[in-house]
Amino acid sequence: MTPVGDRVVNILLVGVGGQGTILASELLARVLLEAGFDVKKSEVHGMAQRGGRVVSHVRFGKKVYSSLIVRGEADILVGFEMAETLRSVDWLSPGARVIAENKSILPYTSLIGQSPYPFNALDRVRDAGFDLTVVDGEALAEKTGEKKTANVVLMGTLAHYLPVERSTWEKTIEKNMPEKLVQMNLEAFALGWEVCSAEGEPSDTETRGRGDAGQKE
Amino acid sequence: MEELEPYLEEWVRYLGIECEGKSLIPRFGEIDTGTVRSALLPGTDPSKAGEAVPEDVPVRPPVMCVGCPHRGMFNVLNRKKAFVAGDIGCYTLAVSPPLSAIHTTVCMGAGVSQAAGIEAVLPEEHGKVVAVIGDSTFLHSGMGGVLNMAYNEIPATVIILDNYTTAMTGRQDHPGSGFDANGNRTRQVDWETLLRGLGVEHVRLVDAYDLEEIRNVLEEEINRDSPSVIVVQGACMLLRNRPVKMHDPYRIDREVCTNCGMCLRVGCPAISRKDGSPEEGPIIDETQCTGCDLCFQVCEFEAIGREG
Repeated sequence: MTPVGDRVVNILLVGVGGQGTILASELLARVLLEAGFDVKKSEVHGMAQRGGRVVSHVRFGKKVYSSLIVRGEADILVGFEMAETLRSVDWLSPGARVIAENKSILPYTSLIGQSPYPFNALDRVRDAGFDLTVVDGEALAEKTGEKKTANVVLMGTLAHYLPVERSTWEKTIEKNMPEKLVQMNLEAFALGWEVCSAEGEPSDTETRGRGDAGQKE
Repeated sequence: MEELEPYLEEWVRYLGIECEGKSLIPRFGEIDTGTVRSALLPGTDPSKAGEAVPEDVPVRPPVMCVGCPHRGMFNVLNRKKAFVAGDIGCYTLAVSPPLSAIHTTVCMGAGVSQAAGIEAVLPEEHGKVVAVIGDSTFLHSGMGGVLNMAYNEIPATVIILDNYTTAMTGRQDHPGSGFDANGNRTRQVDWETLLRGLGVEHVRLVDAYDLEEIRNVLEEEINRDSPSVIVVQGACMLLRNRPVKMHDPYRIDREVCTNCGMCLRVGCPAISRKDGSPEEGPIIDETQCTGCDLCFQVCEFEAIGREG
């Protein structure tokens, strides 16, 4: 786990409407509050219901003033959709950590063959020099019986890189989710956590990143 | 910290007070956190580490929902190559391909006046021009324009897209929905009475999902030599208490499909090509399809049908 000191840590979460980007950022913010940090969060979700992009800013530290990340200074990017992940790299600081779901949701113009979709998006993120961990979120989430828990799977992977105990995450999930969804989400979190075998060491970043980058639901 | 032109800045200077503004803050673009910080604390410019990367990522424009009642009328307007004076609401999304059937959007109520203005000034364009406006926008700021059109006997055609709610902003009720601001039942605007009261003699109500009826009524009204209004009726897919699945989903018979692309021109997000490849014939995502019927109606080869 990375110590924070006096620094404010910037986490950007991006996805497409319906993927649970905002719910994930809410869980993240609650966990960080529970861990004793000052936390600020802000989001843009205007077109979420009609297939648009969703962006959430989460900032934490000893004391946080602004709820918005400065473009070019995000320390961690959590991307739930690969084209949106690629689209967001201009928000990152040099060498920033990227935790990305290996998931493509084609925008309408790509679906009808009018604009090509970047199926190599995640390779391009890695090639740009960012520290990429690819998570097969939906495939892992399916093991819980609900594909939609992919957002919590990614939180499990993210948890390795934050100075918060695993038990704080579990406690927060238990406290904030509807009772019948708690077990499923704890499982999803654990599956995401296991993507990194040792602390901070992704188990198989490379193999997960390449090969099945073109897979869809 | 002033957007656009240095209005306040100049007036403060006229008062003899020293003032900095546009030397630090740009005249255009978003004044985001980084811009503000760089202005106040020189030398704190953020990194541009990833700036060059995402150039060709396709935009992700919002689209009308699967089963949306607006889609049929815009499909017809697109095929007819009509000039469509638009307005502000979900239907403004018809500006994007493949519907591409909104040509102006200025402010609420503007479309009605623009269509009437074009008809008045360019009578040779008669038969090609319509205004579209949503039910709530019409009741908010479209009635004045229609009153003017009828009073001046301008032979324009106004299309009211009636989805029984204010969809774009979150399904608020309005005088046409039959519910008041507290959600209690109230008197509901009667379109024919209202429009006749404004002076429109020709008022037509059509089913939003019946393309043939839409085509026929549009053809009659757009060519009529007096003011007319078409009210296209179909409930918003996001309406509370609306059954999400209307009918069984459709599927495309790969043996019969000629990959002509007509169903894709309906602009339904449930119809796509695999990986967006032009060689791949269109497929219908059965988990999304509401069975609204539009793709079935446009397919000339009877390749679209229901299971079995």
